[in-house]
Amino acid sequence: MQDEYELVEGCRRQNRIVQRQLYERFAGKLFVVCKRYIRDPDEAEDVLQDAFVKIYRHIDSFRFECPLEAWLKRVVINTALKHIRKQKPWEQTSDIQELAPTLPQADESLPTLNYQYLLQLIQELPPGCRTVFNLYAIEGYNHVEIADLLDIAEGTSKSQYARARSLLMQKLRADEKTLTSNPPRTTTT
Amino acid sequence: MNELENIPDDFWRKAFDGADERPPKGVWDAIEQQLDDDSKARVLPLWGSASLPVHRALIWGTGVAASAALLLAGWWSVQPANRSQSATSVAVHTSTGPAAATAPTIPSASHRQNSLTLLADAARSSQAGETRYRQQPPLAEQPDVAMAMSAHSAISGALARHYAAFSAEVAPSAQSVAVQQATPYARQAFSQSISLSITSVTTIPEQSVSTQSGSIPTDEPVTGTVVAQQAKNQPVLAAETSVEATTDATTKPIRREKWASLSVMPGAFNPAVALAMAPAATVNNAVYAGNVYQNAATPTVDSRSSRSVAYQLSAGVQLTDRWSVETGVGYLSAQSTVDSPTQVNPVSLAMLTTNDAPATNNLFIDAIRSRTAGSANAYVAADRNTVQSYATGRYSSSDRQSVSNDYQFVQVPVQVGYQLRPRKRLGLALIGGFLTNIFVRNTVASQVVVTPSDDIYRSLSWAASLGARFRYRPSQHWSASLAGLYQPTIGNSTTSDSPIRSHPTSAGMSFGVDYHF
Repeated sequence: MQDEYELVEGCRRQNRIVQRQLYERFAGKLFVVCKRYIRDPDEAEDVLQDAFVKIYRHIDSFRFECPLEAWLKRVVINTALKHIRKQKPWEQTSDIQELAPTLPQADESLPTLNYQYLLQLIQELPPGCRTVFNLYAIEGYNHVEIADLLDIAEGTSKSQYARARSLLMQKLRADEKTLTSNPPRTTTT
Repeated sequence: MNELENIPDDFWRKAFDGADERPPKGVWDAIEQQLDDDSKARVLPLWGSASLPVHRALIWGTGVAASAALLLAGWWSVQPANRSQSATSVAVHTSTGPAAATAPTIPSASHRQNSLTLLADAARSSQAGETRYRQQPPLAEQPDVAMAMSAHSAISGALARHYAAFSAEVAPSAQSVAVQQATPYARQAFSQSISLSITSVTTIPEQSVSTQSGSIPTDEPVTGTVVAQQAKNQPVLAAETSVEATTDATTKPIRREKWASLSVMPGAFNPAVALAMAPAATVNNAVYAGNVYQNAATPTVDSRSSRSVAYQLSAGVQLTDRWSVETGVGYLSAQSTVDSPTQVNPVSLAMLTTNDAPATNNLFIDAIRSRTAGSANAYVAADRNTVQSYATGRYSSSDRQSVSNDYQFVQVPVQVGYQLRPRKRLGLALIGGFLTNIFVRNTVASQVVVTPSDDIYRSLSWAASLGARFRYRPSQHWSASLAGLYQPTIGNSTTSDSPIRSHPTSAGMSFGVDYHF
C-alpha cells in the first residue's frame, strides 16, 4: 500500500520516472484487459496508450478508496468501451463459425487451459457478444449495469451473453472433439 | 462433453486472473510523447487542454488564424513578383477572379503451435538432464490438480487427459525428458503451460476486500460494481501465475499510418500573363485617323482566370500524431482567357471592326508566334506575316480580342500536414508544401499548340501549396477529404527570353477519397 501511495504521489507530481514505474508495474495486466475487449492488437495498444494518458492526467481523482489496480482497470475498461462505441459503425459482426477455419487445427495444437487460448476464443466472438461477455463473466457486472453502461436493454445484455456463451461452448466442444479424435503424438525412447 | 455445460461462472475470470502480457515498447514511447505534449501545452496557455469548451474554441480560433496567416504569407511572398512585372513596360491587370476555390499479437496459433510442438519435442527427447519440468512432480501424481481438472471443466478434463497420457509416457523415465536441448523459449513455454494449468484450478478462497470505489477519470459514468466484483472474486495467485508473455516484448516501432488518396480539385486558374517586352508601337484607333503612330501607347495584355480541374493520386504517411508528409502525381487541365490588342492592318484599317479581324491576329498570339516561328509548329510557320506584324508593332489597344488558353500540366506535390485535430473522426489539418509543375502544352485559340520544345514555358516550374483540409473518417480504412488549396507559382513559369511572362496561380476545392492502411 505504501508502495502504491508513493507511486500515486509521484504520478501526481508528474515525475516521469515514477510514471514509468507505474506503467511497468501494471501495463502487462492492463494490456490483457485491452486485448479482451479489442480484437485488433494495434487498436488494443492504442487503447492502452489512451488509458494510461488518462490515468496520468486524472491521477488526482484517485483517493485510495479502492485498490489502485482496480481503479486502473476501470479506467482501461471505460476507455475500451469508449473506443468500441466509436468503432461501431464499421466494426463487422462476424460469427465465430466463420472464423473457425482460422483457428489452429487439432493436430497442430492443443487447447490448454491457457489464458492466451481463452483470450483468442473471446476475441473471436462478435463484438457485441464479446463486450457483454467480458463485462459479465470476467468483470462481474450484472446485466442491469451492463445495459446501463452500453445503453442497451437488459434483455439484450442477457441474450448477448447467452449467445457468447453458446458460441464459446461450440468452439470448446469442437476443440475437445478434435483433441480426443486426434490425440497428440508423443514418443518414448 | 457434459462437463462443458457445467463450466462454473467464475471459470473465465479465474482464467484471466494474473494474466500479464507486456505491451511493446512503442506504447510507452507514445504515452511519453503525449505527456510531453501536455507539458508543452502548459507553456502556451492559449492552447489549453481542450477539456473545456473555451479551450476548444481557442484551438479552433488559433487554427483558423494560423491558416489565414499561412495564406497571407503565401500571398505576400507572391506579390513582389507581380510588382516587378508591372514595373516593366507592360502593365498586366490580372484578374484574380472568384477563386473557386508485433506487437504481442494474440499468441494464438503460432504461439501455441510452437509451444506444443516444442513440448512434444521435449517429450521425445531422450537426453537426460535437469529441467524445469523435472522439478515439477508429474501432474497425475498431484491429487489436487487431478481432481480439479476432472471436476472443473471440459477443458480441464481434456488437459488432464492429455497430461495424464503425457505423464504416463514420460514420468517413468523422467530423467529421459530433456528439455535442456530445447531452446530457452521451449523451456519457458513448457513451464508456462504447466504453471498456468495448475494455477488456474488452484485458486484460494475469496478474500474480503473493501468494495469502495474511487472516482473514475472517464467521460462515461460507471458504477463501482466492477471493483466490488473484482475485489470480491479476486483470488490470491501463486507467483507462478503471473506469466509474462514474452512472445513479442521487444521494441516495436511506433506505427506510422499510411494512406493513399485519389482526389479531384475543380477551381480557378489564372496564368497572369504579360508581355516580356513591348512591340515597337501601338495604334490607337481614336487617334489613328488623324495622326498615324503619333500617339503610341504601351500595349498590354490581360489574363482572366477561368476554370481548371486537377486530378491527383497521392500517398502519405503520418510521421507523428500531428505531422504528416505526402506526395503524389497529378494532372492539371486549366483554361484561361487573355485579352489582347488586335493587330492593325493599315491597308484595311478603316474598314475593320473587332469582329472582322481575324480571330488570331492579336498581340498575344503574335508574341507567341514570334517565338515559335522558327520551330516546327506548322500553323505558325505558315503564317509568317504575323511575325512581321509583331516586329513592326501595329496593334490597337482599344480593339481587343479574347484568346483562349488551354494549359496542361503534370504535377508532383510534396506537402507537409499538421493536424489540428489528431485522432478525431473529423480531422482538420493545415497543409503546405511545394508543387512541381511539369508543363505539357498550352493550346492557344484552339490553333497554336505550345509545347516545352518551343522554349516559351519552362518545362519545370514550382509553386507553393497552402491550404487546409477536413478529413472525415467514418471507417477504419476509408475517409473523405475536403481541402481548400491556394497554389501560387514561385517565380515565372516562362523562360527568361520568352516573349511573354506568366505567373500562374490556382485555387480550388479538392474532394478526395482516402484509403488508410
